[in-house]
Amino acid sequence: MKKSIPAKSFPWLVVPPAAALIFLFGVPLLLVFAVSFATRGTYGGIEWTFTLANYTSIADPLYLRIFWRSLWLAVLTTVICLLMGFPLAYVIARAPKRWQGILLFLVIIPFWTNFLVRTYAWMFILRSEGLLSTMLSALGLTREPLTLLFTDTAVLIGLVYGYLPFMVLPLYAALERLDPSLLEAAWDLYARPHQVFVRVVLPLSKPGVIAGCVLVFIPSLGAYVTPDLLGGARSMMIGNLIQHQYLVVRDWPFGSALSFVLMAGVLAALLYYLRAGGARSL
Amino acid sequence: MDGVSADASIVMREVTKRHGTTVAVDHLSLTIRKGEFFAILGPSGSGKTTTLRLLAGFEQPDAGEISIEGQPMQGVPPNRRPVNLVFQNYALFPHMTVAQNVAFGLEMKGLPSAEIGPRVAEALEMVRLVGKQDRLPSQLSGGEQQRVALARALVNRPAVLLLDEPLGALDKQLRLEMEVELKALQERVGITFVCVTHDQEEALTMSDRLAVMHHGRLLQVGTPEEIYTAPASAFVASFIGVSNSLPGRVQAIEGQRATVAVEGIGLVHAPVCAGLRAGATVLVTIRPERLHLSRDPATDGSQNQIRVRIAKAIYSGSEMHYLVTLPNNLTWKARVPNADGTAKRFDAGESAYLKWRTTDAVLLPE
Repeated sequence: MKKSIPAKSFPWLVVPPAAALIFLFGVPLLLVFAVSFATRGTYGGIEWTFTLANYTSIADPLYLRIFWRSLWLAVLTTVICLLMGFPLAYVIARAPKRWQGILLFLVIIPFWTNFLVRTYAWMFILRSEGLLSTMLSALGLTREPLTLLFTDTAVLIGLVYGYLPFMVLPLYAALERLDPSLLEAAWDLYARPHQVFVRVVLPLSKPGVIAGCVLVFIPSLGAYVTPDLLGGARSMMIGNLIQHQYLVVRDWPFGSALSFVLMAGVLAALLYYLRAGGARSL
Repeated sequence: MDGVSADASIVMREVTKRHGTTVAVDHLSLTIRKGEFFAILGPSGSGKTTTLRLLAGFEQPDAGEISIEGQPMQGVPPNRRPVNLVFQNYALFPHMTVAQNVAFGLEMKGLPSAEIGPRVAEALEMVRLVGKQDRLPSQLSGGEQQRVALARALVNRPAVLLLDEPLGALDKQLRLEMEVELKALQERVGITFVCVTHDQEEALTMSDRLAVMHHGRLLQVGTPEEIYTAPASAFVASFIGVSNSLPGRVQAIEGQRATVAVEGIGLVHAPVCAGLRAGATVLVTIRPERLHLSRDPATDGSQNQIRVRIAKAIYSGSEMHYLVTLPNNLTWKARVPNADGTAKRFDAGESAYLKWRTTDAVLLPE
């Protein structure tokens, strides 16, 4: 019999990933943090004069509205993904074993194509003379061409489309572990189907629900590509605002401050989730 | 009441259930009386678990009728049946405490919480789990989990308690204790118990009556003693306890005694069985504990005797287990109690006379 190798005999294996994290993640983050307290130069450079103005100017209603819209869209995306993903994950988890692999594979298949390309495809579907509008008017359901593209609804559709798999996978993992005899036991103990769901299925799949919500909420809140292509100028989200500050306005200190407020928001939301669901769920 | 007695708890009439192409339960007709401990015994795949699931309502029969307490169960879902099931793996809700598990059925029934508390306490007392009500199932031993499962079902005071291999997950010592406890519990609450098991000892010890199932069919229904002493078929004889058998042909029938010719051995006698005719091929079966071993041949004609060689002698405390080789090279098992400490035991390789009373043998049609 071979003895297993204790992890601590190879401490140097930790060095490359640790170094990568420190130099590629930690250092730039500190740099951005420092810049967020600097002042914008006249021609877009950075002047190292300490100021809190970058943070106070976020309180401008214009920016607060963008934050609010981002939060609202991210919450809505998470809720819709949960409502759509739960039945889907449940059906997959209860399918015969040999079907489960195929169905999961189908859920992941969109990842084979670049996200940008898939978002462009949605532009073709959603624009006024696009696939959806043409189909609906051909069916006689709408009289006038539908103007979905460049609205919040288009952004929402794009976000739900993009992040649904991140909801389905952890939900599947939780539901697949659920012992079917527990559902039968509840049924046998006079529970009606909706009571079986509320009292047994939901509490036991809570870790999956929380993991899925975190995995959908965080990237939705900071989404950039989807609102940029599907939302246009009127449906800006925080991600677009940050990009705008860095590359268009060339106000790096303000862009950095926005980034940190976003991070703080995500962290706060995450801590809330973890407290709600117990730390073991992540 | 078309022939069904008023004390029937469960009546199954010509019930058939198919799973795909296999017939899990095949034209099963069975009446279980009120207040009896009824065991359904069979090997895995015999259809006994399907029978239980049909009674619980998780599956609906393809043909035939089931009625419980006089009510037809056609299309009645599990949550509206007067039965509760104790699952094989207990199926306790892992996110609920013991008390919450036990209270679940009463809550779903919509009982006022003022009534639920005392009922739960009473049920926990009945299964000796007082003081554990705030534990989670994962914090309990296997035996305690089993008692929670019992309490969770019995607290609802069902007309029938269904048990799926209730002792299967327990170790041997605990199983023996629970056999006695379960039987005592059933007598105390007076509810009809229907217990599915593959363990013949369990079935014999606990049940008032039992049914033996094989390939979806009911082979025999009777008291443990009837099934053990008068098995209706070779399968029942071999499945219930150990049985020795000799294949032969009926040569003559005189009154209640049949004479059977066995190749390589000669003539043996056994009581006749129903529908026996001369010339029929039969199995002469005899339980190991009904055999006697002796160094001297019998002088009394009421006994059968065969000269055998002791192949193996195994000491097992209360009795000796012998494997003996018959002249036709069949190996039989014999059990001789070690009651008389002075009696000389046989050693492997010795010759001996194997004897049994004619009335202790059972003839089974081949």
